Amino acid sequence: MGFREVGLSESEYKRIIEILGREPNGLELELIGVMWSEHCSYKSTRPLLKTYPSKGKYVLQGQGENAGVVDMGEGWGFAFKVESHNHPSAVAPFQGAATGVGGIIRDIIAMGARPSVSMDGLFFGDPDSIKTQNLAKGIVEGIGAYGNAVGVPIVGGKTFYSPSYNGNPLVNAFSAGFVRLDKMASSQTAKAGDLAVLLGSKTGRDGIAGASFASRELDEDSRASKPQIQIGDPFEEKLLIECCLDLLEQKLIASMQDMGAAGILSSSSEIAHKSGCGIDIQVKQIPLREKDMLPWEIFLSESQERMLLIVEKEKLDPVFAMAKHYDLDCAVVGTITDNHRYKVYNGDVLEADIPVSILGDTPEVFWPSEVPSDMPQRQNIKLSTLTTNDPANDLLALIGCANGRSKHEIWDQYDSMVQLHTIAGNGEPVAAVEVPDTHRACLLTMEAEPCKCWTDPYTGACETMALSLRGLWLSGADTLGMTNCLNFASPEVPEKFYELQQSIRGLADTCRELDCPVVSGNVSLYNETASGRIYPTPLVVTAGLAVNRDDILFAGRTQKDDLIYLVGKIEGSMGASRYQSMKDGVPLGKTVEPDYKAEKDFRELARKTAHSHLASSGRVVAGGGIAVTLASEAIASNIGMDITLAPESTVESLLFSEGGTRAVYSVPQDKAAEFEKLWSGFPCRKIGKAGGDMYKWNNILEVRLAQLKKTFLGEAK
Amino acid sequence: MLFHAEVLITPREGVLDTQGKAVQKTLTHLGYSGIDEVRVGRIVRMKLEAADAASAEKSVKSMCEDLLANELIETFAITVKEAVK
Amino acid sequence: MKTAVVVFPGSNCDRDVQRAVTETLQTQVDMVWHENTKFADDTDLVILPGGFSYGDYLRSGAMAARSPIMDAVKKHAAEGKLLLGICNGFQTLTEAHLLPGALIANTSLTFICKRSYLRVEQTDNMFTSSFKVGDIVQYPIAHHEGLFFLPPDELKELEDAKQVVFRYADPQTGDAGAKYAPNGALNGIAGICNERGNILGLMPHPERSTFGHLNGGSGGDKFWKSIEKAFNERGAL
Repeated sequence: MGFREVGLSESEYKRIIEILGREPNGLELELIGVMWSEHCSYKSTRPLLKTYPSKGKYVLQGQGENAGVVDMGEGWGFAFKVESHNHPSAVAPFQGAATGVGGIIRDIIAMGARPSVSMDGLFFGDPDSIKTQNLAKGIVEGIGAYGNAVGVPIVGGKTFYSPSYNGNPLVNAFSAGFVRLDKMASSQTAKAGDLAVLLGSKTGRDGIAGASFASRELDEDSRASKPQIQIGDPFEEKLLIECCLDLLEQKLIASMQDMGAAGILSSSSEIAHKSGCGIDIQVKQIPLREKDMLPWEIFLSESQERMLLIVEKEKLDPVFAMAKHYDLDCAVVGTITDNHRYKVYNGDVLEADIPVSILGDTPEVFWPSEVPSDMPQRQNIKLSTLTTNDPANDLLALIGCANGRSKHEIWDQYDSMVQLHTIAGNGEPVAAVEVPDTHRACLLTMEAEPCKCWTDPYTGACETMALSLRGLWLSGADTLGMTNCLNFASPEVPEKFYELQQSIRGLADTCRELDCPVVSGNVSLYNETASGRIYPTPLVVTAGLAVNRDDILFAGRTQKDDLIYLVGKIEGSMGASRYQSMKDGVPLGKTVEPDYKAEKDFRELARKTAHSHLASSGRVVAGGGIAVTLASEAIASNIGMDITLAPESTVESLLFSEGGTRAVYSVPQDKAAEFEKLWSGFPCRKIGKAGGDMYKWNNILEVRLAQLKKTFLGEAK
Repeated sequence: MLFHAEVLITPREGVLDTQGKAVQKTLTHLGYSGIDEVRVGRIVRMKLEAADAASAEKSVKSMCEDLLANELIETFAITVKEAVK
Repeated sequence: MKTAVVVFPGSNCDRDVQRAVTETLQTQVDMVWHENTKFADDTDLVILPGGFSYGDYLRSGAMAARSPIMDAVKKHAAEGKLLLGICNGFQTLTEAHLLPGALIANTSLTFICKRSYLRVEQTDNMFTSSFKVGDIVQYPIAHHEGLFFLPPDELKELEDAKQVVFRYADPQTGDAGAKYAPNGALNGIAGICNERGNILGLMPHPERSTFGHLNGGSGGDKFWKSIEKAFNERGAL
């Protein structure tokens, strides 16, 4: 076996020989090759990810663990992370998506938390293509089948269609859980003499070398890669959750790590490396599902529903008893040592003996970056093509298009209520769940703006991040932290690396300016097929804390006779807006530049508005502009609106421009004076009134609420 | 002796077979004509030790009644073959 | 009223129903693992919760219906004590032949989670005696196999015996029946009881509308109070 077959470059191979002082044997080369792959090592992005702000007043555990943890107060932590499962879902939609959900849930278990909430970011190709529809159907069913059975509610997400995802759909699975601070688990607390215990499913040939699979472009004929796909078993996972939580409750686990990419290899080497130890692993002790598996297959297998536990010797019996109670397989597969070596034994034969650090301290790669040559074209917006001749019709088209209409056909397939703590779920701009046994709530927003990142990766990423924060602030929450999933094409193409680099810079700058630490994340590169590359797609999930759940301001609660206010500028940018993309067929033009002063002022005032109960409803201006935002509010509240706001520049810019610090509020008349006073230092204007069954806008448009609703629900035709 | 048993479980006549209906619809949609009735069931295969084929079949029948099929909505057919060494 | 919730491997609404009953009725709720073979002597109400017992493999509820605790469940019901199956618990009760019928795949062939409206059809049982016939209640559904099925003759017997307790309904008009069933259930049946009235199975989840600030809506608390009231007045049947 040569180094190229395991995905290493010549210089990397030379470095390995230098570190080892000899040539690696076949197994060692396999192990190192996988750990040095993009998927496991993040070698292309690590230098960039270091620029993220990581500290914040609520951060208990930042990047580097299985998931980030923030402090919810009253003794509770909240562990959360988002992770991609793009390539597997492209090849086997149902199982790929299902195992994506299962994988991220195990990251949350590994922190000692009970997985409590999930969300999914889905990016599909051309919505009219049969291929997209079949992929989407399989992916949604897979997410539902796993999430519903394992009993973790899916409370929101994002679904976005664009031909740029043809053949390369993205599945970004977010999961989170609550953990008592004194029960938090870690992958860094193993010590010499402890035993490595494998809990859960037997090891088979599933997903062998999935890690290196995800570090390459998809072949045209990705069917050939099918045997690598893992099969999920949510029943086993549910037992694994309960068993691990019981073990932690009884303080029987010294350290733990889930098994994701590169299975036993990455989990055991990470635990040893992060704990500053070594580990001896005995291959023969690993329970196998298939006969005659070779050591490298066993180490790289991505069989699902397995956890690696580190157990002190004297606690082994109760651990085995607990595993038996839940009918789970359990085996001692190794011993933690103090020699900093990663040793693999096959019976008496020592098959691999390398320093743990070679698996943990992986190299970094610096790719050349270059502004895409077509960037001027991407940013060249022709406002003349955007004139609206029929605003009502354009509004209905935006609400009824694949990206605008209700996603209830998707989310009705997800159990959003199990665990009995979902306050606001699917269909709401901000999800909210109770913090156990308290009056507190955790709020979550998921955002991605691929079109805006395509036309300008930096401002697009800034706007994505700011948008996710505005939603939390409007609800009244304080910022806890963010997790992100960076979906990009090959970093080896300088123009693609530029998109990646600038997007990360945008997220980092906005997070730093707006005091939002980044606590966890995942990078998925090489999202491309022979027919094209995806838009730069950084997806963020931001968490906020509401100390009192009664002080949360939701959307969709507008009452009759409420006054409608717009805070922030009247118009944003037409650049890469939903309206512009619809009219031109491709995104063109930049979105608005970040204005952190405005964001901070908005943060303060929006939170005060929520806490003082000055509005009955509120909504951040998002996709489709003010017209769509207000229409969404009218539909969700089942009430008409009479809007009188006049354009500053053009009608289409008034109605449909996007971006910037803007929100609409519905304010009861007796609160109007106080509301206006609070917002006096910020652009704020009364723009209309709620009531009736028409959605009217001066002389601009007039649509029946019933028609809006039908269009939004996809029942219009 | 070792036997291979196979149980074919299908929805009982008269029970709404939602899967069968959906499959039939899709097949028709794909251009296959003249399909009369599609039923979707499942197969359970097992290896078991028994004195002879008859007692193997008896044992499997009992398993069907106890667990493998719900006779309110399903019927089953059993085939038993001696395993070739 | 002392309550026990059976926990099968794969149950996932066990803690939810425990919380709903505990907080609504201020009562003790035991969690009983499926490998046990009996309940505490003074257990009055046994609940089989929702979820995916044994992964819902083979058929929903099939393996739970054959697990060790089920003999004790049957004995408990035979003594006239209260037995309630919600969602997967209802599927388990039919698989255990404690209630007639079977729950098969929704006509949509998809999992459906949403609020659902039910008309109370019968109040002469241990569970709905605080309601009036014709009342509309809202308990959410969340299932893939919720289509209630019985062959025509037996279905007629069930209807004639007034064992249908809940039927899917239109909350505006109060009409109920098959056309309001999101899952295709025959006659729009959402919940049934045994002849004696001490066993109830229903697909919708009353625990999910017990706490009004959650996304399952409100009204479920009355269901638990109704059970407690009937129990306090009548004890076991």
